[in-house]
Amino acid sequence: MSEKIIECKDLTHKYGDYLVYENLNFTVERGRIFGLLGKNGMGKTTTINIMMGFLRPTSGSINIFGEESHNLSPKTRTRIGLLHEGHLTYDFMTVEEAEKFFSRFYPKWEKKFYYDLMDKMGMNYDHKISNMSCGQRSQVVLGLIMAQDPELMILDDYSMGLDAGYRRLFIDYLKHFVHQRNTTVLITSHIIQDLEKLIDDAIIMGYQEILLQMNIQKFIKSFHQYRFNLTGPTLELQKDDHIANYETLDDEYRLYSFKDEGEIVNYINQKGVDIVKEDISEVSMTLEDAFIGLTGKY
Amino acid sequence: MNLKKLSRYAIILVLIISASVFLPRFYHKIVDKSTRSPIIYYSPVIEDFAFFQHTGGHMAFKDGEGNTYSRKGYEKLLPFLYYRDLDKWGVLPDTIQGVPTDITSIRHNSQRIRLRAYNMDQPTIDLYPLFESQSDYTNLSYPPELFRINERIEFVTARTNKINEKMSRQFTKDLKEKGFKFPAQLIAGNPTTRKPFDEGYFIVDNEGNVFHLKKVQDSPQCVKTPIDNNLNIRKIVISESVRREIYGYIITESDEVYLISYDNYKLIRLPLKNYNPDKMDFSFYADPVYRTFKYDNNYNYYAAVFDSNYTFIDSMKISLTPEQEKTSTKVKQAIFPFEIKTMKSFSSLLHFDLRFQSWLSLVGILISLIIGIFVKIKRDENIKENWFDFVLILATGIYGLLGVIFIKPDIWD
Amino acid sequence: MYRSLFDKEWLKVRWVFLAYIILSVSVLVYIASDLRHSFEMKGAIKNWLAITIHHEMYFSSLRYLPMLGGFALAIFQFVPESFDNRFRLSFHLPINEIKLLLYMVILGLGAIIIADLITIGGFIAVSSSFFPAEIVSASYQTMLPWFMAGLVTYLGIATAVVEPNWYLRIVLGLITYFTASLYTQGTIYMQYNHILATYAIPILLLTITIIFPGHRLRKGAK
Repeated sequence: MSEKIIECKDLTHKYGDYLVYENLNFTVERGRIFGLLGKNGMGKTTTINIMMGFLRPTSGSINIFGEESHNLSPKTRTRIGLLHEGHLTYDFMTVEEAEKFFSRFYPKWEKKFYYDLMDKMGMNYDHKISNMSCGQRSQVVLGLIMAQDPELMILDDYSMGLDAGYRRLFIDYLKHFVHQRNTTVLITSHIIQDLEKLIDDAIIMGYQEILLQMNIQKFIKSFHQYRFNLTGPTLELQKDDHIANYETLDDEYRLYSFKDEGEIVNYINQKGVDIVKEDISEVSMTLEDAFIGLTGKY
Repeated sequence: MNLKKLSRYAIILVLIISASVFLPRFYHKIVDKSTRSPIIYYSPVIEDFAFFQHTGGHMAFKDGEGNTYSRKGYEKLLPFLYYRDLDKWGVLPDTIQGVPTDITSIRHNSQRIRLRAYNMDQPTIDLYPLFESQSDYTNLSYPPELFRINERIEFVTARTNKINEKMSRQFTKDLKEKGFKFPAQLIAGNPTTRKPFDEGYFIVDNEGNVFHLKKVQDSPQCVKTPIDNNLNIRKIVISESVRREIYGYIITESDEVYLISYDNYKLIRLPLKNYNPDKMDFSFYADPVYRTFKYDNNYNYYAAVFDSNYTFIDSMKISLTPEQEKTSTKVKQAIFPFEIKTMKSFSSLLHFDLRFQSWLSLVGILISLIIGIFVKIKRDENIKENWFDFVLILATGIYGLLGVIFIKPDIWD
Repeated sequence: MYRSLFDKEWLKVRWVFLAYIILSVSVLVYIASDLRHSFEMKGAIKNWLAITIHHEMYFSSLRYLPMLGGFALAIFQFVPESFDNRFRLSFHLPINEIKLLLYMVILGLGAIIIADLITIGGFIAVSSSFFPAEIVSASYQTMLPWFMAGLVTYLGIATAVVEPNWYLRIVLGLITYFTASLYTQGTIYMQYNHILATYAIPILLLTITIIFPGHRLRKGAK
């Protein structure tokens, strides 16, 4: 039985009367990489803020290393590496000053992890962080977190402001590092494509509800996109236990579902439309396709 | 109580302190009416007091009996004051009570000395100019050095900021020879050139003896006066006048007032009832016939008049509505349980005086408490956790109310 | 750990600290040249007597300078930490949030006090070349409340910057302004002398006021 690093129990949060979600439950075990996905505004940042102790939940709790998230002891905080949304760091410091600053707080500090990355990027140690591009800054922040060698990394929207190249660089470094160090990771993002090869499990958040909570590989295997054309009879569709989401464009219908082909055909027949298996084609999806399929395009 | 709660109360306390200084001040700015101070003199014409006072928008001119006068009539009662107007009207008499009343005589026989209450605690920088008393010139001029007295008398030359050793030694020697015991307890003089001549300084030495020091032709002239050294002198006011009748006066620790006469420094005791030098402005006014002493604390105005031999003639008192009885004061006391006064009208110093005003403030406290409870319930605040808020309102009334309302408790308390 | 915090605060405030000292020295130079001019034109004795008799303050240009310094220091020290949720960086550090805030405040106070001591020392040097000991002593005693106003301003503005709620920021700003003005009311020399200890009370209270808004900031209050 793997050690439970993060335990979320019956978490409910409201901003005033507006419900974000209720009764969220999940666990992140040691060494796992957990993704908190969803469109903007669905509650990812809220959850991270509660986890980091910057927000008190309406009810329920998140425990990290056995401590309540809003009251983490300083000692526990040394075991957690935090990436703040926007790659927050002390802009007024240089590369060297930042490393010196943080090094004194963390007993396991390994400056090698940081400087290897800085050297690879060709970063001048006197370079002031405020003078860097978003991409460069993201690497500095990543380097600082790696040098901390934390048991748990919480990365809130690592992709903000980064172009594709830096995003990929970030993920590559991160993946290499966490697999080597068996770091537990909780990562949020609204850009899905980079995460496919990285995360183990995911929660996908929708409007006021949790859309999905499962292992990523299982999700990709069990979530299907079916396409077919219908000329003539129109099909009334709605989201239910068969249909997670759907789109229509003129004659073309696209259905997203966890059910297999046969079950979908039966479902459509029951709706009064004659259709057979050969009329339906299944389209394979990347994680991003599946994500959009589940959450919708808008 | 943890530090976070303590921090909130610290903010509230700072707010309370500021509010209790500035809100009452603001209140006064809105409600204060001008005080109708009476100005009292003694008339040689009717041999009674004559005074004027602002009342309800116009000036009232009265005498001690209560008779009223026009302004012209009033001025005619006081020829020693209004001689220029009387002269202009052609009604200035030649003599009054046997004393000549030409303008020059009046001027030469009039003197005023003032002592304000705030002069009593005014901080002093103990450096003094010793003028040349017998200069060739009529106008006094400032000396090039100022003196201080520590274990000797030192003259510091201003231009060089250095001690004039020769002069210091010379004067110290003379003082010692006259019996002066260093250091000085009190140094009193009139350090202005705008006076008819110079009488130097009256200095109280370490044993309470009063010495009179002057600079005559650059040399020290020091006299040990026969003034009693057990008086516990608190202040000496010196004012040179061509009348050469008195040097000035002494105020003792027990609030007694003595004039210092030119007759070998003989002291003239003045029986002035109710005079409190710390709370009252005082003035001495001599004209050719009378000696008038006035003192007031902004609501009780006293005047005592003596003849030229300092024999008591008469006294009067005018009382305005005391602060306590004014409606505006009562309203103020109901609203503000206390006030922190930093400035006081009778003091030069700044203060931090917290004074509970009156039981009327219970009204304001009760209202504040009710408002506080109402607001806290409406805001759904946890009353149990923040019970101390109500203690604050009870203790400080409106100030505490403002504090706990503006600085809301943490929603998690 | 505290070494890191010291370095961080120093990085933020070193320029404003230096600027405050330079400004203070400039004011002292101005005072000195003003005195020199006045001594030349009116003569030394008239200048001395203007002070001993009329309580003229030749150093009144210093009156609001410490408040300005306190304000600038609070801004330069706390604003870089407060916009865009930046305080979260510091709050995640493995140090108790109260210790963190108090340490920042102590460093700020230390910087102000050092700068003020330099200013007062410089002032005494300037003043002593023109005036005797009684005037020099009366002068710096008269100035002390103005420096206390600077401490009040620093502590109050730091609290206001950390406070997450805008309306409360304004309230705190007003409280700071009115409290600081209590210390600059003097019109004659040594007016506060006997009461300075009592006037220290608001300053002592203000040393811990930053904790309450800081705590609320961390908990996500708006």
